[in-house]
Amino acid sequence: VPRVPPSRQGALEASVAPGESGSLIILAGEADLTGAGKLSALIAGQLAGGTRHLTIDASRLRFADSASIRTLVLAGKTLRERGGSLVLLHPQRPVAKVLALLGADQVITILGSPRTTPADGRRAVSSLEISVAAGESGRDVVLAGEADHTSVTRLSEVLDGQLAGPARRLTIDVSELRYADLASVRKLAEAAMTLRDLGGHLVLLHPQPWLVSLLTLLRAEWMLIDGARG
Amino acid sequence: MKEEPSGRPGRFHEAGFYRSDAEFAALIVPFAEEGVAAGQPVIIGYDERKAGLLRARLHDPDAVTFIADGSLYATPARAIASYWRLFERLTAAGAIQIRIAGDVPHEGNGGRFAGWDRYESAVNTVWDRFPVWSRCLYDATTAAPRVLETVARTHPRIVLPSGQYRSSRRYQDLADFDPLPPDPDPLERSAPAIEMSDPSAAQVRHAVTSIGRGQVSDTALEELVMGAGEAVSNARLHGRPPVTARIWTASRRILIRVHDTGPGPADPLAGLVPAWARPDLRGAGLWLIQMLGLDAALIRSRDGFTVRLAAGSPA
Repeated sequence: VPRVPPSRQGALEASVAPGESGSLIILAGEADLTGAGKLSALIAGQLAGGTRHLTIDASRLRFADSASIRTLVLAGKTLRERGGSLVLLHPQRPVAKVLALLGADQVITILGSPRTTPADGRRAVSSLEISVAAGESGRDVVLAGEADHTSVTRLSEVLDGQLAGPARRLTIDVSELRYADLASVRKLAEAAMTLRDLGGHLVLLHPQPWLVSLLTLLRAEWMLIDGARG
Repeated sequence: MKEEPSGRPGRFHEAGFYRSDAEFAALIVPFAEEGVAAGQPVIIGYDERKAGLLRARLHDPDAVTFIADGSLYATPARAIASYWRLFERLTAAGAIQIRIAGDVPHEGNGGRFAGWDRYESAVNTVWDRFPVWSRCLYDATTAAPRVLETVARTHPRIVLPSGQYRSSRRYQDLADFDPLPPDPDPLERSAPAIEMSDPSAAQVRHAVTSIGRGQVSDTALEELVMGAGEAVSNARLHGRPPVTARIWTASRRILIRVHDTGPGPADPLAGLVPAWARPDLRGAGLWLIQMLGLDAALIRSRDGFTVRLAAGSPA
């Protein structure tokens, strides 16, 4: 009978990115007994600051056991008691299944569909499609697919190119944008702020709920209000 | 023998045995009609044929809720979870007595009885919080002797086709209940594909993934991975070392045994009560295992506690 040597496969990776109204916790890998202490300490650290909102990007989390989800559910309860919320973005199928079975959606706001990253998580190919066309009262940009670190330079170049022109109104259709990391959302917010300073505005068309959540984290909800006016 | 006053709100878990459609009707029609007449929710979970038989005999079949969804009795934990949510809704809406009758799977009705012995014993305690009158009818011509014997041990009283009751002399309280020994799985007679001593949950999950890929459906494999991971974490946290994981596979079936040398969970309800019903979500691992679409068994033996999981074509 073959025996399997110990491996470090499947470890939990966790990091925290500051947002303007709460932190974004990024979880990747596999969350189970081995990473339980790390996850608990991370969450407890965030809760200790008296924060009311936590957002977790779970798009690269391939697996989470019941104990890990339990940690998140208990955090969600604490945040609710404070009048806040825990938002979990883009859970993959196995994670979504455990969330659903444990009734986690009662205390955690789950937003966004899973990313199309291969199940083994080894390859991260961005599938962001960017198209630009001249619209009636300015330029129209359409973003579709997934925006992450592999596409952020391309996104940045396109936005800078638009801002360099004379048009003071930029419309970005994000209805088909399935995923964006914090850096990509920051680029959009920066472009909107630049345009606003120039007396123009950026209109985001049809953002999905997960994107609204990330914009809220960046205190960039005003982009949506402008969008509603547009 | 004594006759119970009918229609009295309370908590009952009773069994009845029938040998013909006429006896079946005698056991179920008055039970449903009395409930409807008293304005009580009546929930019936029988197959199409028996539901049709009952419908044809009721004055107002629309007053009875028929659950045709076969997935209700997919696993004991799922049945308890589904009924729990239903009872919560009904009592919140003001129900003071709920009547249910359903067909617990056993080999005589095309199902498998494995695990349902623990269910029949558990609901005596689990439904305490709801005003549930549960009548479990078994076809005595098709149910195996060990099924009928278990029914007698898990129902405090037996209802006869005449409408009379007798108490079950063989009834065992939850704490005293002896579960049936697990059905052996032929796969276990062969050598396992892999044996792991004191593995991490991740090691077992990855072994299940690599051994099981292509053997069973993606969904079944995903659930085996989840279940095996929970079993290993549970053994490492609550069991006694050494923890051993063994995986067998042959002709589109996978079987996993996760064993520790401890006595197993002290709570006879382990894995049966919905984790979301406990404020701190304790016991979620063993419950999750039984919510998956797997053949799952919790086995206590002299040498320890074993979680056995299987998926794929039947043994």
